[in-house]
Amino acid sequence: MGLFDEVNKAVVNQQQQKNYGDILKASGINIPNLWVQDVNGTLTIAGTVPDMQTAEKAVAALKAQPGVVNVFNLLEMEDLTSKNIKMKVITKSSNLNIRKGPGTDFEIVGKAAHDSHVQLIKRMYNDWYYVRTEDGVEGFSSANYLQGV
Amino acid sequence: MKYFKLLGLTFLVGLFLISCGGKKGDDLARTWQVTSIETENDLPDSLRNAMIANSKMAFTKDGAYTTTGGIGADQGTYTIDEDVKNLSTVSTAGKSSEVYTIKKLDKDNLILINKGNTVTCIAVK
Repeated sequence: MGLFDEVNKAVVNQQQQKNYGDILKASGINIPNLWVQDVNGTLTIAGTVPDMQTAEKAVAALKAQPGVVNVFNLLEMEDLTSKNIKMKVITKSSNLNIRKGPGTDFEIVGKAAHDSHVQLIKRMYNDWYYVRTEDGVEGFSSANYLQGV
Repeated sequence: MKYFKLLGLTFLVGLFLISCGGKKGDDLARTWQVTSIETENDLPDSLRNAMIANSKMAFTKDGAYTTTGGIGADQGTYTIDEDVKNLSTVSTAGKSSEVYTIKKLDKDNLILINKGNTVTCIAVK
């Protein structure tokens, strides 16, 4: 402690953010609102990423750094609600299942009709998107049956 | 006549002693308002402003200090070296010590440097 300890800490922290940001950029990842805290080699990482793959890639890049014991992932997927991105359901003829989680093992919470439109909320994974149907049901659906409008 | 000369000399010597009586370091013993923070690495303006806001340092003549606001809350004891170039603190919390370079100190202004970061203060009237 001292007379302006928080100033000194903020500067050190800012330098750390820059360093971690540079590490991620070197891996092709840019997280504009990146926040990283290092407590004895355990990193907590927060910020907004476009999809889960980017988040996993970021965690892997930081885990590979010397002295890093663990990475606690608080990265969030970018919320695309305000962008109002519509996607068309391109199943052959059947309705598209909307599920509670990103996988066929998860419970079906609703359905989106063939040829209907859903709103893309978050690109959680390459194969699974979080969407909202025209009926207002939100959940995960297979990205293979969705096409950008 | 000799008596008056002696009286005059005594007066001048007295005046000299009075004018030199206060040490320059005594100027520190007051409350200071932080007005600007210059850091070695750039900080976001929002963070810098939050640290400046309501940040004060108070030094007392008995060698105690207290800091409040965004610069951090702390208290402890302080000393200033003879030539008023360095301010040393010992924090009550953890008994950690720090040395600050005194860039400027008078009854109105205080500028301290530590770890490449500069904090400028004005005296609270």
